[in-house]
Amino acid sequence: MMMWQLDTLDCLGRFPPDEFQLYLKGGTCVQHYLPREKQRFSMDLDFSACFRKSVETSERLPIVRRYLQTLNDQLSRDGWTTSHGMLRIPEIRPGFNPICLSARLFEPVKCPKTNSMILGIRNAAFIRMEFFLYDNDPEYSEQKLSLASTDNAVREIVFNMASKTRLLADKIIALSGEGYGARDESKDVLDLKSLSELYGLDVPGAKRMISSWASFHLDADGKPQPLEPPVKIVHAARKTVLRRSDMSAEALAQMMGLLYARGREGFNLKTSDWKRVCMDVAGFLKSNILPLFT
Amino acid sequence: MQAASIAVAGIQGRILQVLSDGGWHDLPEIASKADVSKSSASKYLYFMLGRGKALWKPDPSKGHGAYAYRLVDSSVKALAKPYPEDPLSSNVDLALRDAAGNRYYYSGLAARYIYQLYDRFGNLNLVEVKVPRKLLPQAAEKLNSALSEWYIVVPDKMPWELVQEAMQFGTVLRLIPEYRPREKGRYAGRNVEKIEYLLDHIRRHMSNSEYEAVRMQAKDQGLIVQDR
Repeated sequence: MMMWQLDTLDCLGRFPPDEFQLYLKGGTCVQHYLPREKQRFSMDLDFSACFRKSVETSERLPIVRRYLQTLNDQLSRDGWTTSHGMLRIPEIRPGFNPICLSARLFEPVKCPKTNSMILGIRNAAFIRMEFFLYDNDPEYSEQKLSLASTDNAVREIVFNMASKTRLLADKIIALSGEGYGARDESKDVLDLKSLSELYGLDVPGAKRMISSWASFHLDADGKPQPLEPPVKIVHAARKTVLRRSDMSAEALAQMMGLLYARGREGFNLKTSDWKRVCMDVAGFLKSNILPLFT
Repeated sequence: MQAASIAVAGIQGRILQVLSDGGWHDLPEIASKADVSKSSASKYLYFMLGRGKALWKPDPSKGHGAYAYRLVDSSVKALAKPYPEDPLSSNVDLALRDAAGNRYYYSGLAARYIYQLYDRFGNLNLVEVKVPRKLLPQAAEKLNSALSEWYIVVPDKMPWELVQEAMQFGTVLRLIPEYRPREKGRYAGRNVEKIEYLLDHIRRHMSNSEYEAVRMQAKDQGLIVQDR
C-alpha cells in the first residue's frame, strides 16, 4: 500500500494544479526529513493549497475540487478506473470547510478494505488526502522524496515538501488542540521530538508562523477569531505534551507496536524513555519557543 | 535439550540447567532447584519467553495463576521470528477454535486491526485474545504448538514493558483469561470485542483527543451510529 501512497504523490507531482500551489505537510512529510531507522508509519497525505491573494476565500474549495476533477480525467485517460486508481471527490458538506477531502481508491491484492461515509467509500482500500485551504505562511521547496518505501520505487518522486520550520510550527499548533481537531497526540509528540533535533530549523520563523496562524485563526463558521495572545498556543501544546507523558505501559506498547516496524529506533521505547521524550519536547518548547514570544 | 549446550553462568545458568531436560517445570520448582527467589526466576523466565526461547502454559493443578515453563532453545543468541504473512492469519483462528471452540475473541490492537481503526497499514505486532479461564491451558498449548514459528505466546500477567520487548522478537500473542460472552461480537468474519467495549477501553487508556479521533473514525466507518 505504501507504493500506492508514492504513486499518488507521483501523479499529483506530474499533473500539478494551475490555479494554486500544492505542498505536502503532516506526518508523512515529517518522516521524509528523518533517517530511515527513525521513520514511523504514516499513510494519510496532508497537503496545503496556496492561492494567490486575489483569490476569494469562498472560491478556494471549488478550485481545489475542480483540480481534483481534472486530475481524475487525466487518471481515467491513463487507464485507471473509478475503483482502482481514480480519486473519490466527496460532496461538499454544508457550512464552512477549511479542508477539501479526497481519497484515491485501489484494488490491491492483499490490503485491508474499509468504509468511509465522509468520503462515500464502501469496502475499498484507499489513501486519504486532505487539502488545507487556509495557509498563511507557506514554506516549501521541491525535493526528491525520501521515505523508507521510496527505496523500492522504480522512479524518483519529486514533490513540494513543507520546510522543517513549517512542520515544526504545524506540530506545535496541532498539539495545542486548536485547529486540527481530535488526533493521535502521541504521534505529534514523537514527530515534534524528531523535528526539534533536526539541523537547519528556523525557530524564529516557526514563531512567526504560529503568531500569524493565531492572528488569522477562523472559527467553526469561517469567521475571523484571532487567538490572543499567540503564546497561549505554545503553552497549550506544552501542557498536552506534559499530560501525555503519563501514558500507561499498555498504551505505549500498543502505540509502538503499531507505529514502528520491528528493529526501528523507537520501537522499544519504555515508559521511562517516553517520559523523557515528553520532557525533552516540553523543555524544547519552554527554552526555545516560549522566550521568542516575550 | 542437552545440558552440555548450556554455558551461561550465575542465576540464569542455574535456571537453564533446571529447564535443560526439555520438560515442563513450574515456577516454585525452578526457583527451588536453581536456588533463586521466585521473583528472580519469574523475571528471567519472562525474558526467555519474550525471546521465543521458552514456552509457557498455565498449570491449574498448582493453583490459580500458576505457570509452567519449557525450554525450547538454550542458545545465547536471540533471533527474531519472521513476520507472519498475514498478521492475523486464519491459522490463529484455527488454533483458537481447536482449543476453545467458538469461545474466544480478539481485543485491543487486534480488534482495532479487524475494525480497521488505526493507521490502516501499520504493523500489527501485538495480538490480544480473550478466552475463558478454564480453557487457557489448552489455548496456550495449542497456540504454542501451531504458531510458535511466527508468534510468541505470552500470559496476560507478563509486564507490559516485557511484552513490548518481546515484540522485537516476534508478533506477540497475549492470552487474556477474561472471556465475557456479552462483549463478544463478530466483524469481518472474526470473533472480536464489540465496538462499544473496545471504544470504552480506548477511552480509559488514551487521551480524550486520541479517543475522540478513534471514535470519529468508527463513526465514519459506520461502526457506531450514535454520538456520545
